Amino acid sequence: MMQAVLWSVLKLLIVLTFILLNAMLLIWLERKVSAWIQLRLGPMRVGRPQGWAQSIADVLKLLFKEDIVPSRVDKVLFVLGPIIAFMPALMVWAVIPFGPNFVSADLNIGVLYIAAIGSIGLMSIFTGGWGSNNKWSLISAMRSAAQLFSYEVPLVLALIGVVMLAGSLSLTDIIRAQQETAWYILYQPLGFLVFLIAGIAEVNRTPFDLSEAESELVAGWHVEYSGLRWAMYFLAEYGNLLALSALAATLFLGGWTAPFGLDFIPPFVWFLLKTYLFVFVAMWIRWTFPRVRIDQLMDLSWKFLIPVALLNIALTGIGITIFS
Amino acid sequence: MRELTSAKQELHREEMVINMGPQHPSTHGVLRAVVTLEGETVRGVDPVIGYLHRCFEKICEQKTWTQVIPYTDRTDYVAALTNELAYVLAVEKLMGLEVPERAQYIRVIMAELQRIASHLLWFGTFGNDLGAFTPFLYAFRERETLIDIFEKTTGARLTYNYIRLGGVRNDLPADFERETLAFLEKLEKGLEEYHNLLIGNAIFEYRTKGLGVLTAEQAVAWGASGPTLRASGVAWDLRKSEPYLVYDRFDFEVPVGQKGDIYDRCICRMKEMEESAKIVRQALEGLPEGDVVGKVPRVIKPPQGQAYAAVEAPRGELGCFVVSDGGIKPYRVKWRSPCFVHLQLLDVIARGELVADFIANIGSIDIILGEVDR
Amino acid sequence: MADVRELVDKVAADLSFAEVSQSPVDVGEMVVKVDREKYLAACRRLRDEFGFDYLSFVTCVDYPESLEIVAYAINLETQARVKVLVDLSKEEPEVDSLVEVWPTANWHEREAYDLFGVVFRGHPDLRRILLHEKFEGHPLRKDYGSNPLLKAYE
Repeated sequence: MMQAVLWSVLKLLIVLTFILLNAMLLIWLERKVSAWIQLRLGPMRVGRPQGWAQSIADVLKLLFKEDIVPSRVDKVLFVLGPIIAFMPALMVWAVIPFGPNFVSADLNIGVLYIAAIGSIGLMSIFTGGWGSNNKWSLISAMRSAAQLFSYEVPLVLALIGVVMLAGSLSLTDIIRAQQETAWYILYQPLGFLVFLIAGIAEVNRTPFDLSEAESELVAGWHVEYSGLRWAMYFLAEYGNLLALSALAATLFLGGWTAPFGLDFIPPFVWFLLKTYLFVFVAMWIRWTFPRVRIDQLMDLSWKFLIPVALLNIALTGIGITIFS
Repeated sequence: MRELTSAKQELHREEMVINMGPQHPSTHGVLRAVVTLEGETVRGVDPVIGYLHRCFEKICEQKTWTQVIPYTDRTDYVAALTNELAYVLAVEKLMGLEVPERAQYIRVIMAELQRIASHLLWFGTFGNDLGAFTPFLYAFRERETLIDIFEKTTGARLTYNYIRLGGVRNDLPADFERETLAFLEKLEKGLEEYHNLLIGNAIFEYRTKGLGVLTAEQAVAWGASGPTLRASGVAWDLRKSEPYLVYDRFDFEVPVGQKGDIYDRCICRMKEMEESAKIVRQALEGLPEGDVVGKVPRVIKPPQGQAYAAVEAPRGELGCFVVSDGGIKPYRVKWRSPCFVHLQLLDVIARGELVADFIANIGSIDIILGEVDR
Repeated sequence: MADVRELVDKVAADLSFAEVSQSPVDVGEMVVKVDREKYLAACRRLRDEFGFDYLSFVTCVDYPESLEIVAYAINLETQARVKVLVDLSKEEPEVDSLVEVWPTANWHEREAYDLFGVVFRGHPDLRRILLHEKFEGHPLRKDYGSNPLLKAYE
């Protein structure tokens, strides 16, 4: 009993370290990918080959910055914002399987747990924006509340198709089901598309980064944040991106399973490769497209994604009935 | 019951006055816009300017006629040669100076290359405003080649001090033609890339079509000029209507829009780049031999009087109104800046639209605060 | 390029109270000198009857004896240009605003007020535009003080 608990705690700690290290890696990767797309080089100096230590330098700098809490903010909400952002980004990883025996908490309601935790993260931008007591942050907070709420619905609807095919909410079961049949991206192309678009909107990345909207709202909800609090928001954002990519890899690309029987590569590596494939796609999209407007964003969600997701569920249901 | 209905009719709406302060990533300089918002809808705009006021017109009265030219560079610093051209044309009109043909051709080539450089910068910053950060670097890849050409010819990258009363300062370097033609080839490929990357993008069209509409009557009544006016359907281009220098010798078209929305303004500017490339090619082919400076008196003393000369700058009608009292310094220099006039338009076109469109509107008017504030 | 010689005769016949001539340095430019009281009427007539529907700018020049208002308009169809000149006394620099005739005159007149102190009667929003609201003095006048920095911050 004691051993099981210790083993669980150890797994959690490993996952935590993994996320934090990966978030730092993502910061560097984003700067490099954006640079190469923009015909530049990106960080080159801090750590001679390709500036690999840039993230470490950035995190150190943010750690040493003065902790400024402006005098007129709502102190409780201001402090709470980054915490609410950071926690769900970490909690989601509890149910994601890294390998055949490596999942921190094999909940049999895995997908439901993820949807629920994701909704908590929604409040982080709103809390920070409202708490900052600043008109720009307020606009940003309103936009984010509308946006994140609207995109929760198609995101969860897209997941339902996968759950119907696998017959279970548990992520390990879903992966096992994909091992028996085929990767669900082949069976759920519509679902995958909806998941990808809604997911990028949920993580607040361009073309859906209206709450941040550098060119319009200066910095939106995090304009009053500096130093470590700001760093927490950003680690949370990259943690969320990573979680979304890991989820896409697990639900649609078979998680840690190897394609074409290439078993000599360890499953953990396959998992990483697939996750980073989605991360790269998300970055590619970010640096290519302009930003949509808030009403166009809402239109996209309510008038396009939700009907498509519902259609997907209907088609999946028909397909299951016909082929089983 | 009567109280209930009257309470329902007076739905309380809050208007928020927000300050897009002088420091803002998208106001293209130090523009301050006091925007009255109702939710995300703009109800009124009051642009506050003067943060870059450097007393240009007063300084002109203290310097000699030739010493004014570097100051004109710094008003619209993105298209500096066009400013010099406006001032020099006004003074030459007042003095009745003859400019040799070779100098006129060189001036045309420089002005059109400046137009391309200015529109490239506009393209990049407009993409930035809309959230597309990559086109900016692609546009600057082309602009850097152009700036290198300018540096070889004039000695400076941004503020040139090249056009002089009676001609230009020095002749073109030996490999100017080869480098310029190579640049124009790159530009063609670049323009295609820009279309694929930004202008043809569906999200871009959503953000620009049907927004910021300026009708032709409004445009004329509010004194719009340049692409802002032509996008609304008014075919007024100073190079065609009142040809100055040798523009009447070249075959080029002036793109005119139909609806006057942001999209039309963008397309006008993109097409203008192609037309400028045409003009440069024709000018290089027909470039005559000769002097680059005409006969100019040693001490410049224009006769007493007033003169106004306008050029078609990338942003619109850039005019210079000079008054001389017969002395060695100008008595009065009035700078008719197109962006100054266009900023008034913001209130007209931004009302009833959203904040995001307001940013797109500012970008589509293409303002440079150096010119607005002088 | 337009030649305004014929236009000059027509306008001189129509605006009998004005001095109409062709500019000595520019064949396409017509110069109309009017009195302060007839300024608005002349501009309105030029827009309605002679098609000068595009105002380029309105500015002011500080001559030793007077302040001269210059309004420059263009006829987009015929490419003719007209320069309307009004002399104002320095003690009482007031004149009508052209905002009703050409809405674009709004900011030009604000700038003339800011830098020269000319008051435009009937302007909807006459306040400083380039200088800050508490600035004192009108800098582009020739008699603007020797140490303006001290003046502005007194």
